[in-house]
Amino acid sequence: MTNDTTSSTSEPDSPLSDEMAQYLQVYIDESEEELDGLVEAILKLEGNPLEDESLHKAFRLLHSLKGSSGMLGFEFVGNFAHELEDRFERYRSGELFLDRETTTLVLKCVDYFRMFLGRLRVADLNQGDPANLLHELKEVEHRRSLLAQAPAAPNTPIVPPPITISGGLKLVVRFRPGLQLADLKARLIVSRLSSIGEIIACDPPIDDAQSFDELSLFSLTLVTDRKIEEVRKIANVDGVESIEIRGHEVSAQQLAAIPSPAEPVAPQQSPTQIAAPVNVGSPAIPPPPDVSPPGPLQANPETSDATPQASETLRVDIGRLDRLMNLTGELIVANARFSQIATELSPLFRQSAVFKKSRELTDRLRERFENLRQSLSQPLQTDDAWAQVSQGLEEDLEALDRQSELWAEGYRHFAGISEAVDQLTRVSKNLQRGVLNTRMVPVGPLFNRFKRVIRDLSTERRKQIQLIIRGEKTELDKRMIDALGDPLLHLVRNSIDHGLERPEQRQTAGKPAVGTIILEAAHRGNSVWITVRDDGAGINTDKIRARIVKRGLASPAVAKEMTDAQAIGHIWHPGFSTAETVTEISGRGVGMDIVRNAISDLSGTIEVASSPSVGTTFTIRLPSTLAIIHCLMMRYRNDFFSIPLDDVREIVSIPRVQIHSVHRHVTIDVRGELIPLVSMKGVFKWATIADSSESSVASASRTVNIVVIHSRGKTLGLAVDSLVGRADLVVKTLAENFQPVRGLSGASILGDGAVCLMLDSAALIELAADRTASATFQ
Amino acid sequence: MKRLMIVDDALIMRMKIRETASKAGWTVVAEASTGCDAIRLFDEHRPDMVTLDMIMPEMDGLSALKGIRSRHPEAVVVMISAVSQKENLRECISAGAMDFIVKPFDPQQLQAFFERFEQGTEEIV
Repeated sequence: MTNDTTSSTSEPDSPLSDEMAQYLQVYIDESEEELDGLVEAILKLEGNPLEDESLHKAFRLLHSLKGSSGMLGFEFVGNFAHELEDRFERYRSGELFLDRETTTLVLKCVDYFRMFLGRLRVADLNQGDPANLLHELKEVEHRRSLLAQAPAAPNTPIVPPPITISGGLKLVVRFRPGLQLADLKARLIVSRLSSIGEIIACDPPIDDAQSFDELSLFSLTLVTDRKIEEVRKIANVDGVESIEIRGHEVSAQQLAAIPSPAEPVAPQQSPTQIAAPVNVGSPAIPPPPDVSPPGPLQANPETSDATPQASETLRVDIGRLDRLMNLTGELIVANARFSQIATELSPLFRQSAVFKKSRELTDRLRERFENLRQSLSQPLQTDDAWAQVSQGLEEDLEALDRQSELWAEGYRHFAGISEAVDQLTRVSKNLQRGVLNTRMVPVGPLFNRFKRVIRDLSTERRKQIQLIIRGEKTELDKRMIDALGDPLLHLVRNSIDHGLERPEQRQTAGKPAVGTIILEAAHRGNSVWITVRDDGAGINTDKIRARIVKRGLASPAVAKEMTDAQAIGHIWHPGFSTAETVTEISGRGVGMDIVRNAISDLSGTIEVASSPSVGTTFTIRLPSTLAIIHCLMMRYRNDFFSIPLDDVREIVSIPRVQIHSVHRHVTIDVRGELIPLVSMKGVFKWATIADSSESSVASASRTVNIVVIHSRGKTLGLAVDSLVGRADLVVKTLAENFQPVRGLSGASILGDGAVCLMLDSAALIELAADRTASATFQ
Repeated sequence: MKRLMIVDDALIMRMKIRETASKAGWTVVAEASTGCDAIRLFDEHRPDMVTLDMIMPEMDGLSALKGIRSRHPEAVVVMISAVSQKENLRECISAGAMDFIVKPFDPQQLQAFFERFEQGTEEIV
């Protein structure tokens, strides 16, 4: 190996090295998946502590965690995983029993790992100290072990006296200091060497029943027909520091009686009492080790197809997918430009009208010229000038013909271009869909996390709760899945804390003692709906009303007048929480408004429905991807704007005379409903364009185009100049390059390169509420 | 260039071994995360060496080793094992494992191991 590669590896595996960073992400992701699997297995075991599959799974996952933690140098974590792995081994063997108390403790241990991984995500290498947990575990085990202690492993090696033999080769193998399982390495060497000859002595004896914790040196005597160097190579397994070989190579004749080298010979159980190499061929040789039957091979081929293969999935940094998505977006934009150019060109060529016309024109000219020639043929027959004109005209007409032909050919080429652009459109649409698909992951793992939450909280709150998960295969953008965890957790906790009643209360109310929480995901059109439903007591509207009054949000009389739905609507109010909400879990200052904001950030909406003693349902509606937004496009002045189609309730065209001013608020009447109206001009502050020209254009038309926007239960009419139509836009954030403008949520590039700003409906409605009082609508 | 197949259910392990082997001048021709795949992919690629994890879902390292060796007695299989798997490892040696590496391993030592083999100073039985 060259020097540079050695030097690169010779750097210590310090936790901060670059090499480490490269693995860290994979380690974190993989370990978190393992922990998910572990929790699932543990929860399954809670139902049946002896279920072998789950025990094995837990064992395997911990083993893997131990391995990778050790690999990255997280010694504490690795050791702790080892302790747990060890316990699962004993749960399997029946030596220990996984009771409920132990399960809780083991789950706490999982929390430790999670905490560690969480810290690691933010580059905190603190491994913490799981000693307390281990101590607790041992405590529990100690209490359980009033029966018998695990029998100590028999450790009484029978050491037969070493025999020194003159003859054969004496090998002294020195292992690397601190080599783990050195005794097994010795055994490996014995095993390997016995395939080329016979080992007639071994010190210390390498034997199944014995093990040595520390083995730095070991010697053996081998009778073989191989060359010393060959023997050295075979004995030189990993971990060997040096091999010293003494003795003489044996001549072939001497060893004629030795079994063929191809036949592996197991090491002797004890140093054979052979006095000389000649005896080697004695029948005392044990049969070769059992070469395994191909059993597992035949039993498993069908399962191998069903299992996910390592080579078929690939972990990709989501940043790369984002970039890919952006590039695809740009491709779509470029493609749209092509389409637009093609569309603009097509009337020029349409049914080769221009070609036909020029053809007709040429024909007509030729006809007229012919007539002219005939009528003038007699007197001017000899006129040179006429002959010249005639010839010139003839040539011009021919040239015109050729031009028409070229035009026709151009048209054919254009048809080809149009076709190619169509195909490009198809391909790029597919590409975009494909790229979008790579970002889609099922909600199942997200939902499954709540099994644990339910288990812990139900124990803590002394409630009996079952969790039903539906539609776990529904797919959502990975970014959304990541962002949904906290809001969902809050909702589920709310259901447990405030929704579901105690078993005895439930029974009194004639409900089953076990409360139910349903987590469900489903596709509806272009959206994904996620519902969190419980069959608890429902939201207590009296308490909400009391809270409204207490918080000074409304007078007692007004609060009393409110419908239940209106009262419940107040839970979204920032900082609003009913008195009983303050528990150790929900009282973290995370209000429902935070939940709603989190959902809004994902371009989603959340609604609540509740009925007394039947239960509460939260419905979250999300776009199935964040990357493409279905929009309504419109124009104001010379600029394009878009609004997410989901926020558009309807589009109306209202005569200017029907715009009223009620209490200085401009409103429109849509089928009897009064809707506040703002114009683009009124809602944003415009720095550049002079008003005069615009307002004259606007007032010239008799009707106004109004987009009725609906968001968070509020409605607003927005007057625009003209509507362009529906568009699927790739929206990019403005935040990275521009100062935030309230009311705008992003921008897209259109086919012709123009910028289209996306309006933020919710912010627009708030802005309008701030400004309607002052703004006047023209 | 020697051709390696890596069998381990942990991606991080596969990455680490892959990297180490590459540094030692090996080509990784296949990777598998289960014993079944290991056997199938061995048939397909016939690598010069296989590193085989002991504990994997579905089929463990020992069975995979036996499976590979029964079909290809010449197969060179190196077990990758934790210290705790001593008993299984013992069986693997009996079943013809060429060598074993205790994890967590020192990448430099593993690299040296691969290099030795690559340069032919290691003899296969």
